[in-house]
Amino acid sequence: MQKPVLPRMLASQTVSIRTSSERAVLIQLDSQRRLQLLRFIVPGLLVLLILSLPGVFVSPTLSEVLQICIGFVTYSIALWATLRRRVSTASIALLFGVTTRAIAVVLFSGPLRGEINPSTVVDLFLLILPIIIAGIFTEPRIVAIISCICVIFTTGIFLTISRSHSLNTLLTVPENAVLIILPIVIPLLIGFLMFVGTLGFRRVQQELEDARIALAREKAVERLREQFISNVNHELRTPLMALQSYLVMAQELRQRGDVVNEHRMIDEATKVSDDLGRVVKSVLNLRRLRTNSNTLEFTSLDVFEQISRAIEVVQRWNSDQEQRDLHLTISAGMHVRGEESRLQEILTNLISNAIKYSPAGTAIEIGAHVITEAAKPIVEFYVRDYGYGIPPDEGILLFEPFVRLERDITSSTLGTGLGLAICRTHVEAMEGKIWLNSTGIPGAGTTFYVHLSSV
Amino acid sequence: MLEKTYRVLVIDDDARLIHVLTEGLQLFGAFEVLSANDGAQGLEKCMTEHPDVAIVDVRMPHLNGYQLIRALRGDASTSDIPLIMLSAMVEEKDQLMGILSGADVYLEKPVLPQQLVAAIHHTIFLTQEQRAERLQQLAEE
Repeated sequence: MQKPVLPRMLASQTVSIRTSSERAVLIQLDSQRRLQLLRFIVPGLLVLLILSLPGVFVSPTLSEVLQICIGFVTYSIALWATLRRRVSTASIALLFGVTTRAIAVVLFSGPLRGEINPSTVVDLFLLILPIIIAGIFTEPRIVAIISCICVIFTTGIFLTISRSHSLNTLLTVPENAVLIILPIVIPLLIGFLMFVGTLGFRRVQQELEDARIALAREKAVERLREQFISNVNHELRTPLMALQSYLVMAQELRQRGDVVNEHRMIDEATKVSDDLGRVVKSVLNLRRLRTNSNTLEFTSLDVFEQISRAIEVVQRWNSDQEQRDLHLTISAGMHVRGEESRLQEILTNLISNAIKYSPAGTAIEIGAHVITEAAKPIVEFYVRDYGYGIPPDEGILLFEPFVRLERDITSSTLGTGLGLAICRTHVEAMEGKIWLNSTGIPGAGTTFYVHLSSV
Repeated sequence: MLEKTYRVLVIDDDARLIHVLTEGLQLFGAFEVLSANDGAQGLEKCMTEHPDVAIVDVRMPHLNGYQLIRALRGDASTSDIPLIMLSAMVEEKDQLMGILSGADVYLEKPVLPQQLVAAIHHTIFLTQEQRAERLQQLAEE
């Protein structure tokens, strides 16, 4: 039997709010793309670096040795990060490696000696590479930063050697002015294009992700709906069979003139029919979850009275079973602001659950007291059972519609998975809070808490 | 018409249903009814009591109906006990799975006591050969 899994929000709510698990999946998808590219580029660059080694060994210069070292260090880090699937680290390392390489190439080709020659200008175009790498592997902000760095660097080069005579020599031919302007303008242009490109790409990606999330949520809800239908189908057939059987037996006994047993059958039939009625009603309550709460009429409700009444109702439901030990700790004179029928449904649900999901013979504690939260008086209700407990990460899921614990689905305990969802709807309609505490250890049990405004 | 009182073992985790079935089978069939609360207990009782027929529910904790039936068929001492599967799972695949596991009859809830009694009468006289023949037919389909 499948474990019920549900995204925190139902599909009808806005997709731009994403759960942390959904965000994690999306980050993974984006990382995949970059990872695939990194797996090509980083080894490729390392290979190129290694291929240039023989040339360096022949005539090593400080600049080349330095460049090789920086290259090795940064590309090795990038490779390690790629292998460890640390995409961000790899991207930054790659970017750093390419940028420093490009800058080093430019610097060592002339400006460090205080001169500028045509090869310097050509090398300046190398600075486009970091911008492109930034565009592919990082986000628009970093593209902008890198582009600015490159442009400032180029401008800086030209300014610092503007007084050198080599620049003047170059500029004696007016057309060479292009050689000055282009290395500044082109990176700027490419940077701009990359920036716009990555922004647009992000937007498309966002829309795709939204669509993907909406579809996944829809599927999850559909799966739960199916499971719910199958669950309800199962839950209805057994009591129905019992009901029909008792009635048929009552008829037979009447024919045989066995009045005593005939009445006994009818009594049993009545009890089963009550059960059946309750299951059907909780199914119909599903509609209440879909529509917004109807206008509520809040009144002041006496806490002790409400809890007592709820206990009476639950005891009537379970009249054919052994009554459980209920320990009450309720101060008198407390009042909450709420609607009676809803509060009754919350209390009967919680108390009935405590009885259903804990073994006979264990105690059940029900209590209420006033506390102060954010300077406002709140009545805290609690229902504690000493049953099997609820695994810590599944607690929050139980308040979603249709969800039941796997162990309860395969057991014979009747349940639709709607009780707690209905409780939560009611509690939220009364502007309260509901949650549970459980260590998940059998025997330690579970405690359900409800907070409602005190009056 | 029946000289002997046949013994029926009802295996279901729902105590309420065991109660109904017990009353119903006694009233309409004059059977002696035994019961077991889960698959494991049912297996044990089949071996110790060797009932004339067993009625098995599908959804049970620990050992479910299919597993129980397969276990019974697999053991020589219990493989000849007629088995009626009773279930609220009503999709075609559930029925197929039940028959292929080795059940002789697969009944969908709700079932009236008289229908159950009729099914018991039907299977109780099913011999080993007939059963093997039927399984062969199903496998071919």
